[in-house]
Amino acid sequence: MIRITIRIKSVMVLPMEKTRKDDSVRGSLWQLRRGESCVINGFDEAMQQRFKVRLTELGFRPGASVSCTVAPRLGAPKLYRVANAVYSLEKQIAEMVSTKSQFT
Amino acid sequence: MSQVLLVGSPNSGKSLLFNKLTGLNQKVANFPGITVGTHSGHCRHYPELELVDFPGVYSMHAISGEESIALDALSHALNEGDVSSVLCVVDSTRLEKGLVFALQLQELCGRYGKRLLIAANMQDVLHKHDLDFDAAGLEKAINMPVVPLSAKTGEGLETLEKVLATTPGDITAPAVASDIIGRDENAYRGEAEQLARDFGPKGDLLLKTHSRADAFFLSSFTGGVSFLLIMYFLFQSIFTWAAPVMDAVENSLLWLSSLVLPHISNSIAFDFIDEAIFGGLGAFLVFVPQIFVLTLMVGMLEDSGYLSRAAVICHRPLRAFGLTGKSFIPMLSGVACAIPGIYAARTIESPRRRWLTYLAIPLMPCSARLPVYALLISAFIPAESVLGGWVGLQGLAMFGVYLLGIMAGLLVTALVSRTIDDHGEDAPFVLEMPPYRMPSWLPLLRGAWERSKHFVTKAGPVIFWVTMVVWFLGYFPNFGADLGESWLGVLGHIIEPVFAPIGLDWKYGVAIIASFLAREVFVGTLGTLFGIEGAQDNVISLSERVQASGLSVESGFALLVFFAIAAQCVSTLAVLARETGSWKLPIQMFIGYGLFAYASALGMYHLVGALS
Ligand SMILES: Nc1nc2c(ncn2[C@@H]2O[C@H](COP(=O)(O)OP(=O)(O)OP(=O)(O)O)[C@@H](O)[C@H]2O)c(=O)[nH]1
Repeated sequence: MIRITIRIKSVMVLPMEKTRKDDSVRGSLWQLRRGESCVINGFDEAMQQRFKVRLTELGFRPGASVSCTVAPRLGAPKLYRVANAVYSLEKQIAEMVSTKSQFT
Repeated sequence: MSQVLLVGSPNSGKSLLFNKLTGLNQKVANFPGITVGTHSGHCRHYPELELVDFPGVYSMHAISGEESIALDALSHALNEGDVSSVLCVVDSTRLEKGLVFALQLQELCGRYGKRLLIAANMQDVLHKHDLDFDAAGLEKAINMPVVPLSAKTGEGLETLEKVLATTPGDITAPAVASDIIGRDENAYRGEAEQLARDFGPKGDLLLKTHSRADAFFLSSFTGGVSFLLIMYFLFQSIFTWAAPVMDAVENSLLWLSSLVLPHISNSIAFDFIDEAIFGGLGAFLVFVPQIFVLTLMVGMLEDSGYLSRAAVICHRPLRAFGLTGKSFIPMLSGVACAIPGIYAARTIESPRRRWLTYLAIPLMPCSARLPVYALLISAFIPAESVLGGWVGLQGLAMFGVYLLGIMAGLLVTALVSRTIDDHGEDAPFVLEMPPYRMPSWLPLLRGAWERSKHFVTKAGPVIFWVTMVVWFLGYFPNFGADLGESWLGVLGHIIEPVFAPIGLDWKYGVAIIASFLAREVFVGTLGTLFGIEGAQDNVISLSERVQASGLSVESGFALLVFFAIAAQCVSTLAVLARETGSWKLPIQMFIGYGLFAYASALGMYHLVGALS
């Protein structure tokens, strides 16, 4: 019984499942703060094709929901969760990923 | 004999699986992209199967040099080799990630008519969280064998081996659906996500504790402090943990010499064994425990998942020096040895930043410098502790000299990156964060043991021959009566003027020249020289001999600085030439860092002289 309780407690609930959706918010992945989620809209024109391909393969593709799990200060790369994996993206690239429908 | 190619995305557990299947000890690490180059070994239970482990790749669209190398090697093997199957390892807890590559591979293998199997690794993690994985369903949906297993616990390995041992003809070859061909990455990812939803574990695997740990280790305050503490602890441990073992090695050598020497009647043979073997080679062996501890500690940090976080922490600061957070791992590997560091730099996608990382790596305080540092520090810094016993002065000095190498590396990259143009070939920092894991101690201990053994067997012969030559030149023609009058003495006096400005006599000059082969030769050479000179003394440690030689404190510090900077390792330069495709960079480095080292040593000599 105790084991079960611990297990449930230790599992993180996706923030977007319990929160409000705001379709009017559009911005970049970099603007996401810790605990916030969004749906990816697309990539900046200026981004090189090979990086668009890689980000798509990692799951950062139009329509995917992504949440920010850690946003360190001082401009350090932020941590984004997509499906069951977490990736760290620096500002230069996260700014080139446009988002819609922010969840807070 | 047929080959099984082991592929998969970084950190899927390929190396561990390879080790389990072959019984070999490849380094296992919890950092994406640690396997560099291919390794091969024979399957333990089916020796006719040769397993080939490839570096991890995320997809068929390479964006780093390492990925291109891996994919080229894969195509080559599929083309030329006698390949019976391709085994794609996927992390079942992050199924969608591994399946993108698996689906792309299916197309490739279909083209070559090779069998593709999926090893769904990390089942132990799923069991721990009571999560299900529908291997049969997945197998049917993608039309290729799926074997659920855990490389850690060994579950499923027997089944896998049996499947691998069946000839592909026994299994229906994967029929490649016509709609697979010509798909784009979006379609692959979409299908992978759908498959993961349908057959993968249901439930949220991202543990809250991981996010909490990330918040702690990545916050600007607690993250910064813990980073410094961890690095500091790493260097203290080299001294405090290794000390008893070093004493034990030293005592065993003394015991051995007292056992062997009385039985030698020939006086030349006696002197040779005493001075060259026990004095020269022995002086070097004493430092091996430190190399063991250092490798173990770095391996532990890798395996725990912390190193990826350290790369995130270091990214911004390193960018200021023209590097990237991904330079951190090659640089830290360079603390053990520059050669694995240079290989690890392949994971840096940007050619420019990779090149800058190459510039920094030879300045990282590698373990070959350790014996030299340890010798000089124990000769000049008292073995005392301050602040209630928490801070050992020698450990602090070691930390300082390590920091010096790192700072010199950063200084060079900062200067060079500001003077050389970026030709638009930069790549952004995107790094996967592996879960935090308890380090697997056994592979780590084995890894540290292998590295130490490798170090002894690789450096040992070089040191042996150099020691022989040095002893021979120093002992003759007057049979050790006066070192200054020996052949070596004559040679040494010729080069003495070069080292006189930093207060070093010809003996140190000879040891420095010899150390251009490999740094650790310095200690062996000095050991031999002092052995010849002090043959009448009772056996005293080399550091006491250095102290007694009248070497001044300022010269000691100047020597430390010289060794921290000079590019004295022939193997490193050779590997760099191979990686960069020319000798241009190694030669520039050798000359540039040599002059930089000499000028800095001279500066240090005068600075310490003025202060004391
Ligand atoms: N719990 C668990 N951990 C595993 C398992 N297999 C591997 N690991 C751990 O996962 C981490 C990565 O394993 P590696 O074998 O280095 O992964 P790799 O795929 O070779 O990674 P690259 O070298 O980056 O290509 C290590 O910390 C392993 O101890 C498993 O079945 N269960």
